[in-house]
Amino acid sequence: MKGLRKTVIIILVVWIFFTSPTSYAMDLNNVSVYDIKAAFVYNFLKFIEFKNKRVQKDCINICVCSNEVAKKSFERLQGKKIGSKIIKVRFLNNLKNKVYICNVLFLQRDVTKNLEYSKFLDKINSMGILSISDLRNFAEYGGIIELFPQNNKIRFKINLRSAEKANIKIHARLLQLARGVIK
Amino acid sequence: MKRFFILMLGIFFCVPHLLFGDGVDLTDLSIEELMNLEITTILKEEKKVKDIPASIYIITKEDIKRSGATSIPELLRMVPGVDVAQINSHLWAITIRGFNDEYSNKLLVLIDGRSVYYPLFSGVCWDKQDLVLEDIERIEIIRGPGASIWGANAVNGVINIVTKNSKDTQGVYVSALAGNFHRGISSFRYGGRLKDNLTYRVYLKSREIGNTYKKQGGRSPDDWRDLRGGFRVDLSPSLKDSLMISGDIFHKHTGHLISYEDLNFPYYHSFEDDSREGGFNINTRYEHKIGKNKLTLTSYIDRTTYDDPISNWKVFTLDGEIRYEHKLSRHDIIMGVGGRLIDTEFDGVFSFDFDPHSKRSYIGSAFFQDNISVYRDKLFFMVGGKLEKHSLVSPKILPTARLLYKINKDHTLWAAVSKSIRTPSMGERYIVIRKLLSGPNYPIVLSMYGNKHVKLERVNSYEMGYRGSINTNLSFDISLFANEYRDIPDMYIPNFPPATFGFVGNYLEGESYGTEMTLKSKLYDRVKLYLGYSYKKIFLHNKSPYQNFLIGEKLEHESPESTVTLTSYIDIKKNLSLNMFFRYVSGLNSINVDPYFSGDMALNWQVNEKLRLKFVVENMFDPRHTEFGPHFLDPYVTEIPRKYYIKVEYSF
Repeated sequence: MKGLRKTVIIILVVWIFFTSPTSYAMDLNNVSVYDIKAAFVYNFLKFIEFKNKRVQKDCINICVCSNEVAKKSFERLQGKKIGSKIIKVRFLNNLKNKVYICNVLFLQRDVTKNLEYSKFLDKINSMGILSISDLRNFAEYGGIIELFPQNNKIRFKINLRSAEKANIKIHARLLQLARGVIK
Repeated sequence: MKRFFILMLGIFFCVPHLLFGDGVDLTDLSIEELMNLEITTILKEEKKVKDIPASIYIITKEDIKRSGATSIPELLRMVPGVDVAQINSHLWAITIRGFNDEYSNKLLVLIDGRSVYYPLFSGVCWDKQDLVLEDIERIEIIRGPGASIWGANAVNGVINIVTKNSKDTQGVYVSALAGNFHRGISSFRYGGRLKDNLTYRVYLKSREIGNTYKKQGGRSPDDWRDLRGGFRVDLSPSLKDSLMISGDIFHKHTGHLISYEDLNFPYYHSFEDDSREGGFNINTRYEHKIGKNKLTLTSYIDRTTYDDPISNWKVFTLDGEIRYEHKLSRHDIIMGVGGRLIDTEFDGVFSFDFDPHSKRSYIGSAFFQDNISVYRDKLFFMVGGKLEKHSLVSPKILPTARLLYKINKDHTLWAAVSKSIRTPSMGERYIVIRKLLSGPNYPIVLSMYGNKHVKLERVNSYEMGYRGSINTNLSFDISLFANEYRDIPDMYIPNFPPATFGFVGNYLEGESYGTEMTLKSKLYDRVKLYLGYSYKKIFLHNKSPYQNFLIGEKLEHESPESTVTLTSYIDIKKNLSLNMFFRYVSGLNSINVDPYFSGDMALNWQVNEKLRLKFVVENMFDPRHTEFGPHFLDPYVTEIPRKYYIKVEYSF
């Protein structure tokens, strides 16, 4: 029993030594759901063409209307590139002003209470903005891409009708991966 | 041999550090890869846990997926402070903070809000509770009292099992498991969607478990066969409303050595036979959100039956609760009212019976809890209480006061004082036990009776805890407790001669103190190590003039004084992971159980997106060991063998 105790102590010491405070790169166990959702948004942009003229040549404006947790996740997209375009992330506190500068609008649960979705989304679509959200039935209400959880994984739906209204072209590859396309 | 394994263990600790590199940036992943990521709620839960002024531990679905456990009791072994001892193939003694027994009466267990505390003997019949483990969302373990919300019998702990929403269990899942001890366990689950907001799942699970061994030699006749099925439907008619309906039905056979005494020659009878048990339950939960506030209505019915050649028992429970959560700027208020009806029936033999055979009892309750942010999101004060009225007992208030101080974003300190009660079981009130002593010409009968007027057991608890993370890879959780127990009921066994009668009474009182500690560390993103330690000491005092009790002061030593657990999760490759679990459990003096050191190993291989294989060895270090004393109906001690099995899981 004595030898056992000694070995255990040695192992513990070695273990604590090896877990000494060091900062590691982001690892999967520390990822918030919004880190994954932000990565989805970034990836969607690779499969999307804005046909309208509001998009500048050198940058894409992603507007995020969300709580603090999601904000942190989207901050990481700042400065990343899609082709030759640099991503600029802007955080909106409300949806009244400034929406016109957005190319992409990410709406998060909790912050868009009591909005008349279909009306509001019609307006957003007519402005040529790619709307993405994890609000339930977002696509049904007229949003373009809806993220939703299923079997503990994130899936997405696309409303093609809204995309056409917004003059946004979605590549067939993305449509294939979508779990539900509204035509 | 032991040393060799420990050396191996050491290598597993240290080597991964040298092998694995940095983590990943999620934007480097493709959409397909992102779609394959599991949304781990671990972090969210840890955050939630951080702000709870109680000693809480959460078993996540990830822990369940990786573990080699085949049942809920085996899963609970990983939690520091939860004592799990396997009595025989189908029975467990599980407790928190001491007083372990087959019916540990100070622990409350809920499955989706349904109490599975068994009112006949006060405790949980763990063999009656089973689920498709993959459908469990999480298991919350609260070490310490939870009476102010959950009511009576949440004295030393609460275990809350939450199953997944059916929208998260879509598609087909099939698993089959075969091994030496677990002869076969198979599960089938299908989840579907009827409408966009209406999802469901159905499941079927069968289990066949082999024998354990008698300590004195030979096989114990305790094999176990179990078949169960169930469903869950989730409907969300609007953004504000959600409705859940679920149900389970089961039937099981277990082997026993049935023994009893009566006045017919040869007085003592003993034979091997099966018991048959069955039951069903239906649960509903309706939630309605009003802004930030929430109204929840829950109800359930639960019926179980037990039948063997000498006795049959039936329990029926009907329960309903209304709960309202109201959020104000500095207050989080929860309040509610509830009611429960319990019907019990027991038919036995001369040596073991109930009088009266059937009984109906009621519980009515109301509770209130306010969580107040006292100072700048740093200092929180929680005060709450539950008022309960049980049949035969005057109304009781079960209050708690808790304080939480966030030193900074990573460190939290909490303290709590609570009062709780344990209600006497139907057994303690109405049981009749008769024992025969051989006299000169005819046997002498010793009779022991339950006591209708037995008082509630009252408990005062004092707790404090400290949680913190030193860096993103190292966090710890320490809690300390001290409890005072008053009016502990027990049964006096008459000393013959002269006495031939004994009664249940509140003969004992006692104190306990102890600690639980958890240290979680991560080495890169591929290795996680959890170290757990728990220690407790219990003192019981006899305050009656009698000496000889059914359980008595030996309960002091029926739970291990100290346990050490170590869990390691190692991702060897992207699709290959190894989970090792080691535990040291100190001996149980009063029931002659030696200390033991045991190790389990589970190797998970995700062959492709649909197919997953698992290889498991339990009790790696010794071929057999004893974990607990004799069972109440089967009067011999068993040894639990080494177990190994292969599991195939297929989902699409």
